[in-house]
Amino acid sequence: MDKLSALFELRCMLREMEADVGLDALTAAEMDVLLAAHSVTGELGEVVTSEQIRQHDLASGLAQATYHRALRSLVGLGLLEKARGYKARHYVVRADLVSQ
Amino acid sequence: MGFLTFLIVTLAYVFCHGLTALAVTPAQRMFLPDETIFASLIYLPHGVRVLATWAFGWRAIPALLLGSSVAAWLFTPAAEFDFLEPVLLESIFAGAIAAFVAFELARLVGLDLYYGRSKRLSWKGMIAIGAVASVINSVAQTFIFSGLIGLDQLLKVLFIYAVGDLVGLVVCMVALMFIFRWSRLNGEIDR
Repeated sequence: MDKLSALFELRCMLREMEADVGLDALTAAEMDVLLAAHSVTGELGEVVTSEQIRQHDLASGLAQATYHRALRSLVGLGLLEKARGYKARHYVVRADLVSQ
Repeated sequence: MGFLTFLIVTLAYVFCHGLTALAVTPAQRMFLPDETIFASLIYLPHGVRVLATWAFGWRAIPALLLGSSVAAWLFTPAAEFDFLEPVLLESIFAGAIAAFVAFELARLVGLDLYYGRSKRLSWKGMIAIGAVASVINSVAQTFIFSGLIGLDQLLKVLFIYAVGDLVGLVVCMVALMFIFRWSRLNGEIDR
């Protein structure tokens, strides 16, 4: 059996998984910000601030404008939600993404 | 299956078992102390079992047997090892063949889902076959451990085995999804 082909098929299978969970359309900067937000989220539904996400290693290297564009885009895509009870700059990673 | 692939499957199993033993088990022991000796709520090596069996069929079994034997020897505390020793070989064997039995059952009903066959397996299909394998493993393990477990614990252990294997497979696939994604995105950035 050709193990490289099995690996290729596994990668294709998991790329479909990415698309099905809604990650496939993200740019590299959006992915960095989403993973940074996920990383600083301690527990399910926890509110994180824009500064916390910005200070994470994955997001700290992004230009200011790129970071804010990525953040806005993630909110637009529904992957991040604006936290209730706060005026701005507080976010929650969508619960079903965290639980996966 | 070449020697290198055999080694990769074996090491992947040992690594995932180690991660489970060092990260998941201590946390689980705090709220399920009696059942934790038998089963884990997130058993990552089930992902290795299912993916290796999908790719290599029965040829994955020797690597899984070796991986689970080495992992049990390395990561099971001495007191638990002595307690489980009378049934350890049966338990290791049941775990190593559970995914193979699930794929063979699917083949019996006309679904040949191994890699390279006519029907391509989707990620949802992989999780479904992993779920069947987890049920087979949990029933077998509960039967094997029935002499060591009280009747009141038996159902709980059966449930933990089934859930732990399935969650372990899902976690493995999500982790691989992110690893492949990162390698792809980094490749795109490098270009």
